[in-house]
Amino acid sequence: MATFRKVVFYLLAALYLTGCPLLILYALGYLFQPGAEHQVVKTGLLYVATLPPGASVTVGTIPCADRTPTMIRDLLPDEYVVTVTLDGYRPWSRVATIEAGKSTAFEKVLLLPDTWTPRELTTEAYEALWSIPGSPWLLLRKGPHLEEYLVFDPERLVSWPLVSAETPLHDATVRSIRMVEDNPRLVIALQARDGRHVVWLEPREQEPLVEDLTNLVGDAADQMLWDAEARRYLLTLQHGQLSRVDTETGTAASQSLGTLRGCGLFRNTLYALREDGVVLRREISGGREELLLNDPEIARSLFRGRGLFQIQVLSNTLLVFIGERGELLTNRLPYRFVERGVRGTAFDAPRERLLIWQKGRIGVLDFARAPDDPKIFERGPTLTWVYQHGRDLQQAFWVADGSHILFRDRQDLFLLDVDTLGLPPPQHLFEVRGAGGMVYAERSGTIYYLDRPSGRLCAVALVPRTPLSQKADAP
Amino acid sequence: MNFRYSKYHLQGREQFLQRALEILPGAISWSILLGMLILSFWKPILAAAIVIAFDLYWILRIFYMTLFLLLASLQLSLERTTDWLARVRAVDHPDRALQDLERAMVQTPLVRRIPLLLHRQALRQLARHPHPPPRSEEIFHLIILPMANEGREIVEPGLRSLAQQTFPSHQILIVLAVEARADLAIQRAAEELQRAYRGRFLDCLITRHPDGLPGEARVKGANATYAAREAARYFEARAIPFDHVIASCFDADTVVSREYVACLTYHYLIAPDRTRASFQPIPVYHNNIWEVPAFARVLDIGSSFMQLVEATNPEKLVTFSSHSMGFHALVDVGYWPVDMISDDSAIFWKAFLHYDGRYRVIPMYITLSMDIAAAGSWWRTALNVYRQKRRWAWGVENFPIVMRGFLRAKRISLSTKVRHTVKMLEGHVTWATGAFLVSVLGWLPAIVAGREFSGSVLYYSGPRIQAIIFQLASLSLVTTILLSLSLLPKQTTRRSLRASISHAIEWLFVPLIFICFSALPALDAQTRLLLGKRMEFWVTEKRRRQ
Repeated sequence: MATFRKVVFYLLAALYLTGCPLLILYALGYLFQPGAEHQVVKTGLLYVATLPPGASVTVGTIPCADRTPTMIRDLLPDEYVVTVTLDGYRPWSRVATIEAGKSTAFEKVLLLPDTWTPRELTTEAYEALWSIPGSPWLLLRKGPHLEEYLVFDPERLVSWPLVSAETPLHDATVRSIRMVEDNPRLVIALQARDGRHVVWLEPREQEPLVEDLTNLVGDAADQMLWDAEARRYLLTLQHGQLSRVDTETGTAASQSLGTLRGCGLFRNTLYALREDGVVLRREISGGREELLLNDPEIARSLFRGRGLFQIQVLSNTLLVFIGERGELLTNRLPYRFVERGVRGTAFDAPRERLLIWQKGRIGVLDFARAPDDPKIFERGPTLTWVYQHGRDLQQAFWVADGSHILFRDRQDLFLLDVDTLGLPPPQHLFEVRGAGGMVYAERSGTIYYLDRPSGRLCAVALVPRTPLSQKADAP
Repeated sequence: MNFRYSKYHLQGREQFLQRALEILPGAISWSILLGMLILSFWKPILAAAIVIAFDLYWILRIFYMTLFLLLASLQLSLERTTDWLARVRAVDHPDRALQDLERAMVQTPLVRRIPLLLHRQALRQLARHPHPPPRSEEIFHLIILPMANEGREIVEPGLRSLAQQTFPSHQILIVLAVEARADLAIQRAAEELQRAYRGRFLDCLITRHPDGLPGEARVKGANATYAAREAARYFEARAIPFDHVIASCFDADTVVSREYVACLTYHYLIAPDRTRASFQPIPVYHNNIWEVPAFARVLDIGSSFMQLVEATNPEKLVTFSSHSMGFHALVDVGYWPVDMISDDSAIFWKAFLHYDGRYRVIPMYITLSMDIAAAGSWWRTALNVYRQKRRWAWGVENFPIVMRGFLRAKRISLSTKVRHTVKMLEGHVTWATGAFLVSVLGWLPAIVAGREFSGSVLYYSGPRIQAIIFQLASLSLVTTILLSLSLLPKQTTRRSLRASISHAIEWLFVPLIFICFSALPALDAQTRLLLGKRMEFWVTEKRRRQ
């Protein structure tokens, strides 16, 4: 046994001593190239993952044996045309540059179907469509009156009126609807026979919760805010004065913050921009006030003019200010990023990127791209205009974990791949009823829209329900 | 060699050396773990390359161990039907036995012939030896059963198994080694056991080890040593030579098969240098195997397998848990250390140094069964198991003492010293770091990858190589599962197919179990030693259904 043991030991030791360096070199991409040259070359690697998975990949003219997600090793440094095909989907093709020892990854190739097969969710026509924040529901408008608004549950395919015939003001005309992120409560301005009203409404499957705030909230409030979890307090900004409305007690209390030019809420903390340029924050319930910017020189150069600003608080340390003229500022250097014309924004929290759109272009403000190597001159977030040929951009959404941007230009929907180097041109998807809006639900990967000719609510699956994290070979 | 096997009462250079060597194993383990952690962030490509190198080493080590586990299991299985008493008698009459053996081998199938071949080889060696072994009727057994917290229900099954031996029990002296500090109930239990079993053995003594004797710590070795000294007086009074006595120090819950003492006697008789050897059976933990949580079961089956693998390498085998040795050697080396927790391995190293390396452990392919450290609830059992494994891992306390001994031992060859040093250090460091490296740190470079690393070939190929290595390791896991099923107590496996299936599934949790109850306690023990903290002997709580 002892001799046998020694033989086995020395065999395995020899195997390790020869195999280990070879295995590490192989893992690093080194390859012995047979043939006339007889040399060791350092290769690169290509990784392709598609949505949906199971697509065929061709590199150059050579088809790969495995279907996506797949890793193609041992590629000599060069440029290769990578083509991905799957029955029923449009072919996808890019030029990949393979470098020695490096990997090139197409981690979320979103394959688009050859033909779209929308599902009609309703038989009636509608004028407009919204997503109700903090819920899976959609809000549909059939006519101008409050009683003509419906709530639609796309998961169960059922709908019900937003208000019933018994609800006070049900026949009033809707003048505007305000929403905040992650909270299904809506502030609706109404025109009734006896004058203007403001109601705070929480959609419910049975009778909705409706509170008439007309006496507490001025109809002409410049800004209205409520926290994602707020059920009781509402903040209004009117003529520079901030008031806190307690809907339970029916009282409104002025907040002693001076004259304000804008405010924002984040996790029960109020962020305010004072007329003198001071930026501060304070818990809604009171408490200590913290000055975030108290430098008149900087404030003057940043918040020029006298207009109001919306404050979007993206995290505890990241603020975005959007002025009345559409100028966009942040608290990160160089502060001012867009001088005018911003129509909307959408934040990709995991990757810390802000999607910005104007009438004719779409940009990505990347806060995560902090410099890896500190330089003498600090480099702040970078704004990259990823699309500049828009006619009248209305809406934009992050799609598939921020790998793509879905946007509506008048009645046309487009999809733009922003993870691929070189930014390929956007792909046209289909047309929707332009004035009615559309909604994209990232959780289900579905686009909800109003059909252009019929006005019916339709749904199209843009991203397959396959988990995005499903990557067979990727770390 | 005259060497005081203790870490206490050292001075000057010896004290410094002892302390430095105490720091070494923990320092290496922590350096490996923290080094990998830092490298994963700082130099992820280097970290990933090291991970591949380690994983390859790990899979080859697993294959190596699985191969020898299979061979050891085969031998254990073949020896299961051996009539050890007949073999003992054969040693008394080797010439006649060899003739009988030749005839028997012709009628025996090839595989079954292996134990007979080994037996024939042993008899031939014995015949060539100038000094014949003592006759089997001259051999006496001293079996010490230390009792601290263990009541009658724990000790009696083992005592009963000793009374039912095929080997004549009137040649067995039982010593119930009770701690004087033990509860009155334990003292009474010992007395009841003595009354019940005295007539079935040569004798059944009770020793009461006083608490706090000079130079002693509260450790099992102190109690066993006290009992062995009493037994020495007993043998001297009856003029029984010490080299005719085999001493066994069992855990109180040890239950042996009917052939155990005969098997031990046989191995003692056929060993040419029998007084310079310890005898190591394969410990299994079957007494309460179906009464404990899955993790404890998997862990202790793993320990048994480890011992099986070790048994195939007698050159590096060290005594573990319940074991036996010649009483002459025990007295000669000054009994078990009285100030160390790991008395089982310490006695081997003490003898090894005392006899200048001319001392060895002879493996015996026979099992003895003990309890898994159960303690009622899941959490208490988990805590119990953790503490028990930490106590086992505290065997690292031998490392600095053995190294000091090696530095002084001029007659032990350098190659022997290097071989044992590497084995000890590698064993302890791998014990504390292996599971962490394979299960957690190995994946870290890919998880925390920065932009530079995530754009490299290694970022993708490294985890893929790891995955292939893990798939290969699963082959070994399947072998282990099948072996564990075959080793389970037969009546239980027949009774419940569901229990067998769930037992197989338990093995899938091996990575987690080994991190929590093997690597972590080992790292804990090494860290304590590194920091100069001491451990008192903590008596493992053991429970068995009545």
